Amino acid sequence: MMLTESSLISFNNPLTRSGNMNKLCRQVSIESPGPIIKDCVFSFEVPVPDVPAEGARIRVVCAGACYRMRTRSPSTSSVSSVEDSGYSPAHHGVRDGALFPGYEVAGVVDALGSEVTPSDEIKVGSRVVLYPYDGIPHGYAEYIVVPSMDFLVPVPDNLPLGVAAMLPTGALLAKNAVVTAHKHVVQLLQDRATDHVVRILIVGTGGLALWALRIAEHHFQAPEYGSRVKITVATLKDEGFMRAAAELKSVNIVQWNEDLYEKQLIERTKNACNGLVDIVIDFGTTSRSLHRSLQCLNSGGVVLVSEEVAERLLPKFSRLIHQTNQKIEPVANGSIEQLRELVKFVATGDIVAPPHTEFSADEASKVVEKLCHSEIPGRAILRFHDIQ
Amino acid sequence: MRIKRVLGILNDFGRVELDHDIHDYEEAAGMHVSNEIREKCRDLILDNDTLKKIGAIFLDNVNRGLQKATHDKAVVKCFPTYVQDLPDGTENGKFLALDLGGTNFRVLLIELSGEHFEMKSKIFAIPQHIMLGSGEQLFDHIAECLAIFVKEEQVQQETLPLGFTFSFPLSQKGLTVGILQRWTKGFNCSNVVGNDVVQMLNEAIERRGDVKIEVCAILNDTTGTLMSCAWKNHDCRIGLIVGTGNNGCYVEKQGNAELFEDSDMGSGKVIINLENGAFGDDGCLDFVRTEYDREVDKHSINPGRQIQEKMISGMYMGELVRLALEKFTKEGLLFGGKGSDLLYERGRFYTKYVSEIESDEPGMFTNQKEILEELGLKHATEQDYVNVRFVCECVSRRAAHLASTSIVTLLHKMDEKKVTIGVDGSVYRYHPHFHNLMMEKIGELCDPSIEFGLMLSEDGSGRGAALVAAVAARQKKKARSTAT
Repeated sequence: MMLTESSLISFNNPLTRSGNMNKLCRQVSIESPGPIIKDCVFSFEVPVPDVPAEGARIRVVCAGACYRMRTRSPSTSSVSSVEDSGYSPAHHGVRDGALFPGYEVAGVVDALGSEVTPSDEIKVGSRVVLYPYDGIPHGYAEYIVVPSMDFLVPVPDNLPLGVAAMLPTGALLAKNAVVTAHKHVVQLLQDRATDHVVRILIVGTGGLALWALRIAEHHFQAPEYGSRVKITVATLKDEGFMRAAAELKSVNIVQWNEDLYEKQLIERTKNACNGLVDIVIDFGTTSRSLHRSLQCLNSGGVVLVSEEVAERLLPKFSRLIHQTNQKIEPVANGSIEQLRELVKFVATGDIVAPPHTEFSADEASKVVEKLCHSEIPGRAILRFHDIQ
Repeated sequence: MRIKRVLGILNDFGRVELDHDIHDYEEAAGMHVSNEIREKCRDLILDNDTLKKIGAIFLDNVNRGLQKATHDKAVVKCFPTYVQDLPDGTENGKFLALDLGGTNFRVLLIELSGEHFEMKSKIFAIPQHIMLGSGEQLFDHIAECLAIFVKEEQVQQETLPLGFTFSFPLSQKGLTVGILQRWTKGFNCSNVVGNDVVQMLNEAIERRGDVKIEVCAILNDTTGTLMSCAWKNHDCRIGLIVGTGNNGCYVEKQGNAELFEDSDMGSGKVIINLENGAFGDDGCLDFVRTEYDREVDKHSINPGRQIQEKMISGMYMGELVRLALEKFTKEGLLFGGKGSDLLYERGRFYTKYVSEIESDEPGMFTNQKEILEELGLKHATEQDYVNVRFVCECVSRRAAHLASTSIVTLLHKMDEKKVTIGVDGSVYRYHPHFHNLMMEKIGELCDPSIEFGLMLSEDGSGRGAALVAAVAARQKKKARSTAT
């Protein structure tokens, strides 16, 4: 496979199927960052895919900078798989949730399958976001196919594709975390005294935590929660976040400056939260972050983490949380219904998207390096075409 | 296995001195530090003869700092704090403390009755626009927060003495006169540099007119550390901070403090703020500085300054270790010669890693495995674990031994047979062995006729400040009753 970047291929005739066989397009692949950051971004030329009969081909316009989690193949033992992965979650941006595993694509319908009837919502030229279904291909190619129209969500005209691209993994995972937290809040409000304030700590200030904060604010703004749910954010050196959060006056902020000793950080967090918290939404990826979250958590409390983190860290912590009567709960990526809901709320402005910066897809390697060092406030979006 | 070679040498004080062999540093039960690493770390280990030489140089520096003729060129400045009396247990009443050290500040109310005290406190933020606004705005904001707190505690009708911990470079001319030398920590209020911050605070309080607060003293955190400890233990004469920074203070005869410009309040003594983090700025420690120390200094915000601080304090300890590990890795002595981006990134080996690695039980590497994984060094071998721990121990021991040397110098200088040293700071608090390392080394170097103890001081910048105000109020009351 040639490691090279091809020039942009213009493709104007979606109905000429035989012509596809000879066309190539560019693909950018981001693997999980290993000990050496430069080793994780690749660029390939791949064939333009054929359109499935019941699906569609999407021309990718914007893609959120996420990395692919290297899956464990059935024939590989878990030990060697872990060793081979070279996984190193301590890069600032990975630890912070600025760079996370996922798949985020927004684009334009390039061709419809032979069995598909165009609708007002989705036809050739429609703007869509792609729901990351099981079996989604690896890497961001300029053209991507979906086997079923069920995986496409139309994007309203007033929602830029750069913002829409952030929704399918970052916002969706955060949304599902908030929905899961909501179940616990409801339970706590029933079980505890009428004056009990449910304390939620959101860890990380990268894209995931910013989304979680915005979605939680929207979710818990109803009067019945107004004075009984208190949110604190544990930030990591994101200056931009401090300014953004200043607008949200009901949010406490505590800075998790990694230079400090663990005991100092935990003491600070307890002060900021007015005691131990009931729920932690932890988008950090390290043992250290999770251990810290547990030390800020009530007996009986729950830490919500991504499935990927849970798979990696739960075995290490299961004995501890048994002793402390705490829970670590995996949060799956959300459903396509949740994605549709997000598209609607973000388009109407009910949920304000976190800040993001757009980069040319050619700059993916530099973008990933900056993300690993948390040098990009908010999210990074790779732009493949200048289509709004 | 711990191997210790004992030489029966009688030191200057008639005490058998143990010459700790380098083997004393080995901890792992089943493995030994590799010979190459041990050899490479020799320049991080200071033997007792070297420490005594450093102590003598330090004493000379202290004396030059105390004397008017030599003060200006001295690097250990020995500023008089104008705090002349220690708590004696008779302090009673309510006292305020104000601790301004950063973007948050604390107000505390302490009530003393004999050996009993109660404390209430509140944290206030200083908004960015006030940090960069006018000095008048800053002190008005502080006065407003003081008033809010005093009213919340319902003591606004009482005249309350206040101790002011002001953690910025200050030139003190009296117990209640502090001229700001320069702003640090992101502050840049106009019309404060060159002015007396106590006067500015008093004026802000007077502009309000709704609370009665009397600023009785301005101090720094080392003075507060000593006072807080002295309230519990009346033998306390030395305050030491080993945290992000490093500094100390001690009780000196007022006659020796030639820069003292106020009238003697009667005790004949005064607490001296040493500013001993600057020891070595004149090059007198170059004979023990290593390439790592020079590298840390070169890339610091203040190259050439605070040399001893850069060898001791938590701000730099982790980086010293990282520089050694980076060098040894690139020489093929660690991690099979294969590092990671994080290992090679400045500032990425935190001082807390040193404490966590040394908190592992001997022969166990639980914390270290987590840390090395965080740094992308999952390929580390057990020999690497042993070697990394050794490097951490060399750096932290050197820090403890340098701090101990300063303490011994002060113990010998003071005319006291029993002294408690009040200590605070994150390195002392959180490093698992720092207290014992210091106790052992002070014991080796100190005249055996002097009895000493190290005591963790609590909340020097808060409670200590209130105690300074309490003692000042006690002395004023005493002076008034004598005059009657």
